[in-house]
Amino acid sequence: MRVSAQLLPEFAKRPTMHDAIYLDNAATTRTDPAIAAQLAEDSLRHYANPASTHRAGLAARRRLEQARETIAERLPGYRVVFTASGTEAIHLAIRGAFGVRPRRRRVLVSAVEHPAVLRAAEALVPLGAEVETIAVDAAGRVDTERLEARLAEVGEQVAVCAVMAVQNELGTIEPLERVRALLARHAPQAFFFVDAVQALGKIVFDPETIGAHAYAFASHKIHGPKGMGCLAVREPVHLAPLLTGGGQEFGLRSGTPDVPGACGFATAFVEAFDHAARHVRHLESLRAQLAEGIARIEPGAVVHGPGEPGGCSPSILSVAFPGRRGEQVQHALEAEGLYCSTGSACHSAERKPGHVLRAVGMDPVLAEGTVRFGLSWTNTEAEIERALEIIAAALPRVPARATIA
Amino acid sequence: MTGADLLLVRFAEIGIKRGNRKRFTRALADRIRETTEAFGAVRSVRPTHSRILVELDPDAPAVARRRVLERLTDTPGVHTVSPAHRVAADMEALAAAVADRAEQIVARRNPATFRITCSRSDKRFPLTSDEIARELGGAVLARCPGLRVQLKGADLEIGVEIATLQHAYVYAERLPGPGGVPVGTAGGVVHLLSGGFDSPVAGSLLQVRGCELTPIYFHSFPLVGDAAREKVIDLARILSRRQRRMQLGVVGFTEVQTTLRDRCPADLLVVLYRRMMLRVADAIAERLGFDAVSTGDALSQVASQTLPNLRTIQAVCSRPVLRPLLACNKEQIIDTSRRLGMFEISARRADDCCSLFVPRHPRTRARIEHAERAERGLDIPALVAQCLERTEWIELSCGRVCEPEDAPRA
Repeated sequence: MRVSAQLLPEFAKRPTMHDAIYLDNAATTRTDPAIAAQLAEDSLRHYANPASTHRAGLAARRRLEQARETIAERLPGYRVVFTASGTEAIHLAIRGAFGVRPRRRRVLVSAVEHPAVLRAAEALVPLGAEVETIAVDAAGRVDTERLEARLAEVGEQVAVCAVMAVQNELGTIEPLERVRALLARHAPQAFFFVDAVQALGKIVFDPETIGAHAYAFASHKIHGPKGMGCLAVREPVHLAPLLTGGGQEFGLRSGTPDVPGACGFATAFVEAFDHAARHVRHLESLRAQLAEGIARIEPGAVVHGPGEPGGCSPSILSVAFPGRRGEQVQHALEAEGLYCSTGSACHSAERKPGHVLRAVGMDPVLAEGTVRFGLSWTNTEAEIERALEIIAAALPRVPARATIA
Repeated sequence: MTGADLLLVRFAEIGIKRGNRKRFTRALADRIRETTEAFGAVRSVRPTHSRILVELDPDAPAVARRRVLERLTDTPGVHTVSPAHRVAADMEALAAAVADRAEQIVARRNPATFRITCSRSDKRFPLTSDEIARELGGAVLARCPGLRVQLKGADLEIGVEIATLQHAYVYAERLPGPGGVPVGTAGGVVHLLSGGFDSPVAGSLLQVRGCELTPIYFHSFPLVGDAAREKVIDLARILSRRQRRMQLGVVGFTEVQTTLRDRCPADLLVVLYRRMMLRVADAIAERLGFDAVSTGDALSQVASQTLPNLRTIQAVCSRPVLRPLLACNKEQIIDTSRRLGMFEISARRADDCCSLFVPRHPRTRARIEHAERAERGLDIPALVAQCLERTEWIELSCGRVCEPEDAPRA
């Protein structure tokens, strides 16, 4: 679905944001220029409603179904339901699965889940849910021993269990196969949900082997269009919809589908999924370059998350500059043209250490000094080199210990 | 399948067709090449005496490699397929490979019994097949002490083929294909395709018997909406996965139907529609040089499928009318439809031209002279010519529509 270069508007050929270096790809990514152009073209040419039975509608429907097929053939055994965001996919899975399991009331979520998961679970409390969090170790990994002990007690009552694939603030890769095995043994009726938003294209993971009941994905994290997500649900699908109305998306998500968005998402999905192994190699080398450079600049800097190879997604480098405030570091870097974030930008209005850093029991001084770099496979070695120059120049300007009471 | 170097394809009936063996093998290799080319995961397709070796590209994405395997298990002429690893043809390497494979499978699905099946293409290999199997079986037992040997009906069969003195293949699965003979070896047929359940299944059966399909669909726009046409295109896409190229003819049938409605008895309409369809199919087969036409008729299923009506319908066609579903029950048809992924498409709601203007009780015993009397006064050749002229040809290849045919109606 590549578009010829002449279709690209002039601005798309230039780098974005005044040549700044964008290392906040875990927050969101730049839409691939070819996908953006395709999106514009589709919006103008294939605008019919895919539910219409005239030829233009049928053509739109075919495009939508082709996009769905493209994603689904990479997830054998799963049905793809398009949503307007990762968050919506998460809510559909958790609330939808709880809704069809009236006799089971327990919802287990890892302590480091994205707020979308935590809030979706909380929304079930008035409906009788008992929400429990699963503790994690200092690296952010689900404590499977404690999970097993808990499942041995209440496994029969578990309706939904949610563990993410890659932790969005730390990059921790969660032991999903182990969780799956524990659920199979102690809670075979439970719906196992995996938030895979940060995993797609950034680690090599095989949804079939993990065998969860559903995975949520978001398009904007992989250079696809904004406002697009999907839930891949294992067949046979049994979920209660959140949105009802026209009965689109197999009755699971009413609302006129975004056909151009779905096509753009599918294109981005292919690039992310099919070339994950290559992306990982590239990301690992960038991450190592960045981490080593930072260690040279600031020997006291502490990298969070699992240290062993393969324990952490190479797309995320969460690092603390002890004695400094992460926010000030972020702004100082920004002033020099390097974008990153403190913790997770999705909800960075919070001032105190977020739930993730608290869950891993992080020293408040380290938590306060934490900055997250989000790498994409589109980043280059030269960009990391430049980023390190910026860090070296900007860091001394951030007051150390200034705000520690 | 993970990480397989190649796929070992065993052919079905090709093995027994002595005189034609080479032709069939080559045709099968060609079909495999053509229908997997788009996935970009196949390095080479090499026919040998008893196998076709499909070499996979190790750098291709897993999804592409899996799709090649899926395609092969649906390729007519394929008896079984085994994803295999290439191993050096010495006993040490083989023992390690076989034991590794067994260990992986034990971890995954916990079989109780196993066997080693060995064959040698190169008989110069110093051990006999039995000796090899026994020694490798020992290696498996040493690694997986929980397993027992069982020669008949083992839970796990690990196959070893000594291909040359240099290398051998190890596999642990035999996935069944549809059997039959390669598409195209029987010739072409014009196939009457609708959006229903039967005709797509009939087409798929004929492909397994070597027919290359040119489906035609009778479309009565605007009496019937394009959703019906869309269904047929989707069904043809599935059939086209087995063919390098497929032409789907969408025949403009509106005028024929309205003419017949205006001038003929209503209770004969279904039979008359079907006679017109066969005439058109016969004419297209004539042009294409094909020897047969085919339909999804099943005996006694609907009014047009009684023996007297089939006879009256067939009388207008100079070619044999192949009806592979003639003696099939609906359940069998639906099973196949599901297996090929056609069921959900056929189950979509859309209008159908055969029911247009038809009374509740159509004639079940229309004799040829009834039909001929009803057609008297119609310019049949002109109507057929008009249908041919109003046929839109849609090109499909390997499951995809080739032309951008979503342009607005001209």
